[in-house]
Amino acid sequence: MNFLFDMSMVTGNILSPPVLFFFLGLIAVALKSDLEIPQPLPKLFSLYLLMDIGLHGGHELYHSGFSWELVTVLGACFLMASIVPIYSFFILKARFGAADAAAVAATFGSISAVTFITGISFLESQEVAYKGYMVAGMALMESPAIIIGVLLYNIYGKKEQKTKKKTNWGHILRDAFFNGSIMLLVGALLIGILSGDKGWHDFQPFDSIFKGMLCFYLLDNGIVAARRLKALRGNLGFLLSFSILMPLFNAALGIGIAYLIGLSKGNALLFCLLTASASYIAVPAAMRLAIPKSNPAFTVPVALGIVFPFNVIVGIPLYYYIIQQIL
Amino acid sequence: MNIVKSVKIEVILESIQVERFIEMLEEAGAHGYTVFGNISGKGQNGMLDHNCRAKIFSNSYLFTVCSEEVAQNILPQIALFLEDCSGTCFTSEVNHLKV
Repeated sequence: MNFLFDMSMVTGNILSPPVLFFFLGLIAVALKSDLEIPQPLPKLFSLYLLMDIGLHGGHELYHSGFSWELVTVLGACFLMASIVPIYSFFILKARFGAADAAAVAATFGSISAVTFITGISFLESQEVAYKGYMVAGMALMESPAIIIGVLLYNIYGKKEQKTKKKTNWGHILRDAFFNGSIMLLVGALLIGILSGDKGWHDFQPFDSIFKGMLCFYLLDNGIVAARRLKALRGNLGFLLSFSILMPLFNAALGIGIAYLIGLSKGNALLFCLLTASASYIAVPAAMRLAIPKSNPAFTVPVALGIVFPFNVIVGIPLYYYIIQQIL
Repeated sequence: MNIVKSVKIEVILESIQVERFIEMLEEAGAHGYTVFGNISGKGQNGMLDHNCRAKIFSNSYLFTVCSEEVAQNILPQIALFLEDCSGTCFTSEVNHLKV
C-alpha cells in the first residue's frame, strides 16, 4: 500500500473549472463585488442538474435492469440516512437545544445533490467508471433523515415546546417524500428508464451543457456560502469542528460499508459522498416547517458554508485516495 | 358608489409558511388576499434575504381586507401562527370601494 498522499489529485480537483468557479463566488463576496446571478436562474440550474443526473441514471437502469447489487446499495443508503441523524443529534444536543440539534442532524443525514454531481465530474476527469443507479440511492436518502429528525425532536424536545401543538405528520410526510428535488430526481429516473436509448439520444444536446451549468451553479453556491458563513459567529468554533469531523467520520463509515458490500471504486466514492454530505435546500426548508423552533441560521450555513466546500475541495480527493488504498 | 369601512390586515412572514398561512386565513373567514413574494428589507431578525433557493430565508408580504367581525376572528389565529415563525402583522382601518 502506498500511503503517500497524491497531492496532484487535490490540485487537479481544485483546479477544475466547477471548483474554481465556487472560489470565484467566495472571492466576489469577500471583495464586496456586485457579482450576482439573478433569481430565479440558480433554481433553474439546480433543476437542470437534478434532471440530467436523473435521466442519466434512468438510462443506465434501462440497460442494466434491476439487480441485487442495486437493492444492496439502496439498503445501505437507507441505513446511513437513518443512523447518521441519530448519532449527530446526540452530539449536537450537548451544545444546542433539541430543535436546532434535530434540524442540523437531519441535514447531515440527508444528502447534497451538487456534492454528488461534483463527485461524478471528478470521476469523469479521472476516467473512473461508476453506475448511474447510484442516483436512485441519492433519491432515497432525503426522506428518512427528515422523518428521523422530527421523531427525535418529538421524543427529546417536548420540554422546549411552550404550546403542545400536535405534529402534522401529513405535511411532514408530504415534504419528506414529495418535495421538488425528490419529485424531479425520481421522475427523471423513471423517464430515463421509460424513454430508453431514443430518449437519451434526443436529450444529448441538453446533456452537453452539463459542465457549464455546474460551473454556474457552483459560482452561485460560492456567493451564497460566503454570505451565509457570517451567520455562524458565536458558534463558529464548535460548528466548524463538527462540520469537518462529522463528514470525515461518516465518510469512513461509508467506505467501510462500500468495502463490505463490494462496491467498485467509482460507486464507493459516490456512496461515500452521499453519506458525508449535508443537505442545504430541501431538508432545512422541511425542518423549518416541521420544527418551527429550529433556527435556519444554523442549518444552511453549516451545510452550505462548511460541509459543502470541505467535501468539494478536500473531501472528494481524500475519500477517493483512501478508497484506492482499501478497495 | 359604495364605500364600506373595513379592516386591512398586513403580514410579513417567511415564504415557506405562506401556503399554510393562507389555509389558516381562509378557514378563519377571509375571502381574498394578495401576496407579494421575494421581498427584502430589515426587521427584528436583521436583513431579510431575497436571494435564497430554498425559500428558507425568503420573505413574503400578504394583505387581506375584511369586515371588523372577520378580523376579530382572524387576528388571534394570526397571533398563534406567528408564535411559531418569524413575521409581523399590522392592522388598519380602510375605506373599501365595493363596485
